[in-house]
Amino acid sequence: MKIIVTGLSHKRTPIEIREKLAFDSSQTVKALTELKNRFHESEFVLLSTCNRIELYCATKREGGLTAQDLAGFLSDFHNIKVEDFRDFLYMHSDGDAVRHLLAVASSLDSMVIGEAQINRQVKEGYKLACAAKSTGKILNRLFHCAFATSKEIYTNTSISSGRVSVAGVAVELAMQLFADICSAKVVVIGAGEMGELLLQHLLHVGCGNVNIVNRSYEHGLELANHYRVTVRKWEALAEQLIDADIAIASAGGQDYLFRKKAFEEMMGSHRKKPLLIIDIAVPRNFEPSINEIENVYLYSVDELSEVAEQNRKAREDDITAGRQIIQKNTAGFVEWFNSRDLGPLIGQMKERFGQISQNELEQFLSRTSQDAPCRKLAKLMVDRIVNKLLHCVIKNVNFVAREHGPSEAVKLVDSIVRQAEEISSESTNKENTKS
Amino acid sequence: MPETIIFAIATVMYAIAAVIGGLQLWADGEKYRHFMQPVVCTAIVFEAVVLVFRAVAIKAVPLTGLFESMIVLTIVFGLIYLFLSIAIRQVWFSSVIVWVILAMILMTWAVARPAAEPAAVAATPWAMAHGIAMILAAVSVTFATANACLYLIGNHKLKHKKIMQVLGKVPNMEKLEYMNLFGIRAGFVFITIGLISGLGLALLRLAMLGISIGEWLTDIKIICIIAAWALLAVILVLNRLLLLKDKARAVMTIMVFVLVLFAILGVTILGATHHNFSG
Repeated sequence: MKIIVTGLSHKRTPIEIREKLAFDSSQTVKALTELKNRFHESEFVLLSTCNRIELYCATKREGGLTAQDLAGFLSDFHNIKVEDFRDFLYMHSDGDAVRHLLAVASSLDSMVIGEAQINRQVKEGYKLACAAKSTGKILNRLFHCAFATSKEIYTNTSISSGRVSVAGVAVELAMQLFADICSAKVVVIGAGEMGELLLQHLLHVGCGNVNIVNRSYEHGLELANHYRVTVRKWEALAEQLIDADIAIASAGGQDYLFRKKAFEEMMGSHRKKPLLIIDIAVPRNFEPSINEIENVYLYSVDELSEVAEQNRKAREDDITAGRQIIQKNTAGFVEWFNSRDLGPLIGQMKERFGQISQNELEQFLSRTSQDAPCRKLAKLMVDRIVNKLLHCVIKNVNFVAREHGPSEAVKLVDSIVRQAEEISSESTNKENTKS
Repeated sequence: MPETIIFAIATVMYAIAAVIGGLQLWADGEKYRHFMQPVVCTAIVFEAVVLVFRAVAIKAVPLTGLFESMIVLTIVFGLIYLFLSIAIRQVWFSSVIVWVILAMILMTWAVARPAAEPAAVAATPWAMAHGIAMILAAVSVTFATANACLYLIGNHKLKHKKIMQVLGKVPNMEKLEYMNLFGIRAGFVFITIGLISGLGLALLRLAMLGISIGEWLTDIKIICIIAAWALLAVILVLNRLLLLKDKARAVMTIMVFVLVLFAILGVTILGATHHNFSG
């Protein structure tokens, strides 16, 4: 048996192609059922996410399916010419295919390394394949190995912890300060690009009370309409800040918008709740000494970038550690996978040895006149000799498998089987010539 | 002798937990966290065994001495840790809490005495209510203090832009405030019950106590507890009037804890109290 995977991902394939080849849940089940009906000896799992479409297959080594056949199936199913997406396709087999799946399931092949979503999507793809009864011993074991690897990587490395962007760190900081970020009042000062990015992140985590305050009301309104949030006039900025929880400052200007003394007076001494100010404007909107006011936490873009950079470095180390885990688990799986071929080959070897001994015994008995009990005894003796010699050979095969890997052992047994076949056919030919 | 050995094992267990707490902070990760829970669990079991031994020895509820009360306190604290560790996964929380427990258990060694027969007064409902309320008050104040400490640490780090030392390590700041306030409220309620029942005991069973009401009310232990109760009341009133900042509240909580700690341990070690329920 061999394992092959063919597919395309966000790395090389434009979204226009990916969306044409994407499968929803019902299409996935339909495609897998169709494949299983056509190639019932093979196993299939189809993974379709917004970033990748991959078809995994375990098939016969000789005369089984090829990666091209799988690409052809994708083309037929979606009625798109293979030429339209051939250049974007990647095809892996055996160890490379295993390594690829393990990396995909652990998010090491994702757009955002450490994201937890891909693991759920791989599990979902596998579940659909199980529902379509298109998996078997090999892919079942392979996908369980992928899930275990993903768990091992997430447990032993900090791959999923720590944001690697300024906006991400700002959101994490807000979540550290406020128990219920959804009800926190957010004031976005200015409608710059960076402010918009932060706004997107805050909306993503569920912030509901967002107010944009911009010098140009029209521009602010445009942004507010786009994100379905509230817009306020520039004159209402101070009023908005008084009861705000989070302030994102990205307004242009040559001087500070707020200085410590004025800000302190504006906020009043009775304000009890904390205020997180993310000042990403350059030049800054808030005087740095505002951070000294109790319950006010002021962060500039540089301070957040520093954290993002530290997280990025830590994540790089984790990626190396993750790849080592993948390498180890791939080797383990490949060893099991290759050793699967050894069992039937040893069976064939036993059969050939039996055949040779049978031929020789018959030749011997035909030349001598032995009675039935004596024939029986002779057969028993020959069988014992063959079994003892076979035991010796199998012991050596196991030794080779242990020392040099199952693939070497498979090669050795394969060559013994072929030689035994030759000997067996030679003796049969001789026998035929004589008779 | 076996009691001492068992208690020593419990202490060693807490010491191991404290080392694990240090390691998980030092190693900057959570991988040691799952070792801590079984260790604390084992220590609690050993402490409970000590209490059972004492109960068998005096054939009564083993709450006659300070030593037993301290054991109960550390058991309750350990159980609080075990329950809260399900929800609060930050390493700072578990580390601080096991260090506090270790400090308490080491202080317990200082007040270790052989099991004493309970005084006749200890069997009265007033004394029982008083004992239980005061233990719960001590637990509440310690809980509030642990949260106050975490709040002050987190606040200091955030103010000084040491974000990496806070994110994922210290619980959410608002949650810490809520838990601190919860501990203060619970502490205030339990100390109030403890004081009322104590006063009732002093007024109704004075003869059984063998001291005058004047001595009872001017006992340093009682004065410390009344001071702690008053401070808790001040915190709650100022908080209600929005006149107290979170940082000030955290500092005042620590002051209450110091008073309670002195009332429980300090005066007993110094021998400056008549507050005793053993015969």
